[in-house]
Amino acid sequence: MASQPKQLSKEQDVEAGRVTGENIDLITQALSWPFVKQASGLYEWKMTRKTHSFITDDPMPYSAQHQPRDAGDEVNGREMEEEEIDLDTDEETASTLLPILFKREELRLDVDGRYPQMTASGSMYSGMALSMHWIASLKSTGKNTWSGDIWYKSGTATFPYTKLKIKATTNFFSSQRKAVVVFYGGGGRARKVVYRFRSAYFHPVEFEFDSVEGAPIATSIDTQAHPNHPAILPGETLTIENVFRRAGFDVRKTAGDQVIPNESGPDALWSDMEMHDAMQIYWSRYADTAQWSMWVLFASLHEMGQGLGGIMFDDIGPNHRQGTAIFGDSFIANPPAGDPAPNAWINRMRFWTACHEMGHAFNLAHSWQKELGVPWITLINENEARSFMNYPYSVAGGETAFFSDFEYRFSDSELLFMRHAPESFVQMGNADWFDHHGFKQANSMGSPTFRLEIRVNRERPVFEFMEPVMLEMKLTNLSPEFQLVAAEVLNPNHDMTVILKKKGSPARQWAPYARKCTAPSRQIVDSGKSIYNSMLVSAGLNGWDIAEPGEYTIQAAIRIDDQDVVSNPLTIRVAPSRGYDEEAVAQDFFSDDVGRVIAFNGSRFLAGANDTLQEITERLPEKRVACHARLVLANPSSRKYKLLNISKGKRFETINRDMDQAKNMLNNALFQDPQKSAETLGHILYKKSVDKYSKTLFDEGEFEAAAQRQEDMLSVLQSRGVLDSVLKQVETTRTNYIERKATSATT
Amino acid sequence: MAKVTIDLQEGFLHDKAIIYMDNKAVATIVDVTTRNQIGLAERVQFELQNSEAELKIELPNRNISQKQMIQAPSDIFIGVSLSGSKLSLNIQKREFWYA
Repeated sequence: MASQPKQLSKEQDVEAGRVTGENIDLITQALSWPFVKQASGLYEWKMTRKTHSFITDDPMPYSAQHQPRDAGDEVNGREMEEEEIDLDTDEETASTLLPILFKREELRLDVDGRYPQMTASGSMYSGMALSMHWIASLKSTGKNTWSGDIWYKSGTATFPYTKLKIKATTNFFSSQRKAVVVFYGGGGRARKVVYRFRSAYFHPVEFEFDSVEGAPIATSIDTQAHPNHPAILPGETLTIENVFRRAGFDVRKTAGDQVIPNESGPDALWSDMEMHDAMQIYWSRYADTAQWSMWVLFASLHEMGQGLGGIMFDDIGPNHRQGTAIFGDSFIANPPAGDPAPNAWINRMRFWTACHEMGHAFNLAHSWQKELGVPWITLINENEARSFMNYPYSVAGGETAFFSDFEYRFSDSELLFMRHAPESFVQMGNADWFDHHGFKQANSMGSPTFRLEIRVNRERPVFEFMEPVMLEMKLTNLSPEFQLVAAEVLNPNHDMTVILKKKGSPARQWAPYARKCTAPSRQIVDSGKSIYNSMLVSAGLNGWDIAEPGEYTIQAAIRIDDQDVVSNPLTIRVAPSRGYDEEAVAQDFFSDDVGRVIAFNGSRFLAGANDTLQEITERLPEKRVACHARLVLANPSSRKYKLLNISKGKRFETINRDMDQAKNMLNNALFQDPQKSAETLGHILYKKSVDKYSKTLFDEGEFEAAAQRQEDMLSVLQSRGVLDSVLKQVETTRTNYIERKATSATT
Repeated sequence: MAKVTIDLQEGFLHDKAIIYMDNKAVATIVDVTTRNQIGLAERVQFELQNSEAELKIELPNRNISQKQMIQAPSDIFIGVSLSGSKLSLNIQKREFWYA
């Protein structure tokens, strides 16, 4: 391995912001002045006593941030115009309680230096937990000034902004560097934050290199040793560490360079299991935890033989992507016949393989795999990319073509991901391998007209085992004018896209049992107002998408005119089963028929599914799934039902309602424990069910009972903070039933 | 006799795969899943009695199947990838390389 030139290590120290004033003279003798004037890097804001007291003096009430704007609002309530945004002062703008919640914020500014992506990203932490992550594309608007649109947001905190402006102050002394960012747009009051410079790199990372006795290693390369190289490629001794420093990482080596005994067994071939064991034994940083640290093993051959040049073997257990291996005596050691510099060819292939496998540990997919998987983790395939993540022998023209214009780097989309994706997607030991390996930008506008939210009506998004998952959707008009949308815009059986992903598994698109084709009609959504609907996402044409215990992330998207409106990602958890009864019933519950009965709110035909649901009401009466079961069992009984009877010459058989049976089931489902029912069914389905039930009672002449059901529902929904407009509807219906009762009593 | 190596490569996820040569099943694999870090799911090798044969790859659970006549005067290597509902076959004379 080549030793680091002394000058280069000093550059790295300066670049990383580790230089203090007294060392400057030594450094300036070695460095060119412009080198230290770049703005790119990691900046940080932390809540201080001063910041906190400034915020609590803010006269703005908390709710003002989140109320829809009315026409003629006062200045404080309206969106700040661009010309009013002042980047030249350090005075921070407190905008309600947001800064109090985010005790620390990071900014990654990526506008100059190596392979700038013209991007800014930020992470907001409440305590140790990440509350929000955002990403914005930038354009220069002047000296050290940029502006752009925020195109990616993920997190649980409210962050309405859609645009930002940034001004960076560069200085030789890192302590004097800062970036002032103003967030605005999205219907919220503008917010200014002053971030202090921390490092010229975006993330830290540690590498530990070990090799098996006798195996070749390649941790550095003379870039011009092989005559086939780009003409513009500088001649240098390039190390693996510097490859990743140029990708934006503050690379340090941990105790390593060990030569370990060959423990691959008598055949001297390594299996994945053997490598995983070796990682646990020899890696000084091994831990069952996510950390910016990885182990790299140089070995001779894998048990797969010559055809495997290297592998990121660590895709088992709870913490993936911590270990990689390079097999130096595989095909990467066989130069083509007639190659002008075979030794250089071999070293180049070994070096490429090492950086390639380490790229997988950063959760990078192969260049041709970017479109694999699921929409929000998809990039465009880069089959011809000159990136470490592409196979040199797979491009048009083969290795010769590849290395003739390969600059020992990652592609722009890969750098964007490594530098700016949420940390958990990239960090070793965090997101599972191939999970969130990239993301796709939806066709969303810089200043969106709509906001789509999906949520659950409960304090914590945790569901019992077998409890069907009901979500509530809310579409809000963020514009200052009324908007026309399709009447069915929030109908999940219409044109909505819903993606579900269980942690550790590939994401899948939810497919409803039925799609509706309706005559086009529109509805008005006033400025600042919202429309709502609910959806059952547990089951569909692909089976039960939410069944096993674990964590699931759900995201929805709709298209309104030419705009994609993408919801927040919602993470829910399914609890494990609590006993034998649940396990026993679950085997029949998670069937296609039961899924259909629940999705269609009942069936008279699917008798087997009905038997299973009946069993649930008897064996698990207190569980939330029993509430759903009672509801769907009762529904067919509460109405006149037409059933096509094939055995009777394909005739429709009319089955009259059985109100006694229906009432018993519906009273149990909706009113035995109304809080539980409203929570598990969701407010929208709960109200629809009670409305339907009370209408049935009304039709049967039971006016008092109908009014009482509305009264009971009003009490529940009031206690759960449902919108006043909905409560008024319930009151009106109840009053109508009471008046009808009074009218019928006098006639 | 030539050796045929079939690599089931990209796009497989818990698939059942049956490989036929001249209508005779030579391999059945019940759970084929691509290891994305190398782009390879399974490797099957067998010897060909004749220098020419009809290869058929079937994914019964997806209702997908693909046939191709292959000629193997010497050892050949066949890469099979799944994209959407289509299997693509890539035949070459050297072993496929993965990293």
